Amino acid sequence: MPGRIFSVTHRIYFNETNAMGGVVYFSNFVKWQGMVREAFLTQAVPEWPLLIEEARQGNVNMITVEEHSTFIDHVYFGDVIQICIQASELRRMSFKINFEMTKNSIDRVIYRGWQKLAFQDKKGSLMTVPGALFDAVLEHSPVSEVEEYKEKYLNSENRLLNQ
Amino acid sequence: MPNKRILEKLKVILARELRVDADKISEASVLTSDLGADSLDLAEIALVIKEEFQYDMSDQDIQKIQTVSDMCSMLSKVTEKEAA
Repeated sequence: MPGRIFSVTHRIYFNETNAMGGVVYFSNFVKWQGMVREAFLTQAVPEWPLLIEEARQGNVNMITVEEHSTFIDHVYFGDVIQICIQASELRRMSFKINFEMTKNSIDRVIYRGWQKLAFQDKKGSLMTVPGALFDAVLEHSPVSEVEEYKEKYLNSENRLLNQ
Repeated sequence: MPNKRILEKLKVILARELRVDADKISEASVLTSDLGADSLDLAEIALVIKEEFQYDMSDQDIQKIQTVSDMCSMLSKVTEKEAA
């Protein structure tokens, strides 16, 4: 059932801060995008080990096509951040993961980001998102996005040949 | 299939995949600079073309095609060959 949100909490340590007053260094936000994304893949995609095996054999490769960050407030040593993700812009060969971060259980977004993911086959050609992964992506997308996807790609009445 | 019909069908596909107004798509439209297509869009379009025209575009086809007219010509040739 779509509409689920996947989240991860994380406490900030010294090694993530900088010399400018102990503020978290900006590149860590991108690192955390990867951390949460991969927590999602390993925890929410039951067939992830099979996909990793395919990747090891060179049959599939996940690629980050684009990444974007908007920094709204600082994060400091000792803060506990929560990063929530949902997917959007669902297409057959790509999708976006949206990241929203809050800190210390305060209901105010301090960071927003997104990244677009796609997949390549062993020849390096773009391929459709592996089905086992896409099921979890659909589950963690807003209902409106899933409906739009189904309307666009799965509704046979929309097929041009039927017009 | 006459070119005009292919063109009209292509316009529907491109408008839907690229989220542009079909009326703004012409034969001269360049897929990337005029219609904003990136490599992922082109791969998605190739997938729809496979479904709608039963033609499997190669990576070379995708790289060669610049305009809507190019795509239309390619599909016209394919459908002519099938009809012959």
